[in-house]
Amino acid sequence: MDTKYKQIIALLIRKTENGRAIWRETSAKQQFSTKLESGTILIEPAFDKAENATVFILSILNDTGDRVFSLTVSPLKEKGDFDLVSRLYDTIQRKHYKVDETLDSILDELKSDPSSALREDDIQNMSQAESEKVLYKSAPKTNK
Amino acid sequence: MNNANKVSIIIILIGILITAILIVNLDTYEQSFINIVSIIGSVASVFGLIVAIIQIASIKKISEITSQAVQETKAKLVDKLSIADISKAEKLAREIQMFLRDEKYESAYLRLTDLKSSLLQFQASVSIKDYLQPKKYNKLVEQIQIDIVNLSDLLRGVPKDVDFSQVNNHLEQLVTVLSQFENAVKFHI
Repeated sequence: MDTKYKQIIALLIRKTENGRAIWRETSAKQQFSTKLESGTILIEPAFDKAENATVFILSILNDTGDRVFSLTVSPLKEKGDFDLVSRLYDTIQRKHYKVDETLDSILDELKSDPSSALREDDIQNMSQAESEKVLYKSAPKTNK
Repeated sequence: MNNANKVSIIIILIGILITAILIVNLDTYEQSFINIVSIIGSVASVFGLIVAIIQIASIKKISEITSQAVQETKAKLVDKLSIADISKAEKLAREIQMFLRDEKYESAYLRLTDLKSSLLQFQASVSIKDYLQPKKYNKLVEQIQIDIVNLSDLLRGVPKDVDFSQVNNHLEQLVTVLSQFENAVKFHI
């Protein structure tokens, strides 16, 4: 991939992380778009039957809506480029679905419960099977 | 008779009066034909100049008023043309909805590209900026542009899951905005 496009993607990742690039879902499933002053950027995953792998398609539309650039990155052919575009897509998803905010809220809610806070250190020292056992025990009983 | 003509006639009458006073007040030995002609000539040239300036200013004003009227008529004509274009765009949007419902994607794509051209023309129109909410309109145009790209991909055989109910929804919103615009333009003409 051309350095210019890599720069665009890197800057888009930064702008998305900062919340300065707003991505919207479009009429195509799993596709996101963001509007810039000079055009629109589209990104979507797609399944490539020939490669039997998921690829990412990045398109740039000019101010009149014509597609002026399209890039398809495959994990088998362009690993570095794929990772970069994949990182952009993950960042968009995390921001769009407010993944971090939701996780933080869940964590805060759990921490505010004194019974959970008491067991936190214990859980860290336990094996996964043991920690699951403790968590199931501490879970409130539901009324049926 | 306009004001400039009235003022010109008054000035001419004053000029004649002044000429008469000057001639009457001449001593008997000065009342030669040459002196009288030179008095008439001098007063006529001074007052003629004033009348000429007044007339030129009047013509300039008339020219400005005419030019303004031409511009206003032109703007009204452009707006009337826009109304016809808006109605056409609304019809196109309805046609596209029908094509999508009947799964005639090639026809829908062709009409969508026509619709896009009209929408971009409206975007550049001065009168539309006065009557439309540009932010809402621009967002709709952007969504329709993306819908065109997705439909184009679909026609090229790119595997894509396009939600046509959303495309229809964009078109429905567009028709609403366009009919609001059409009404606004009609009432302002």
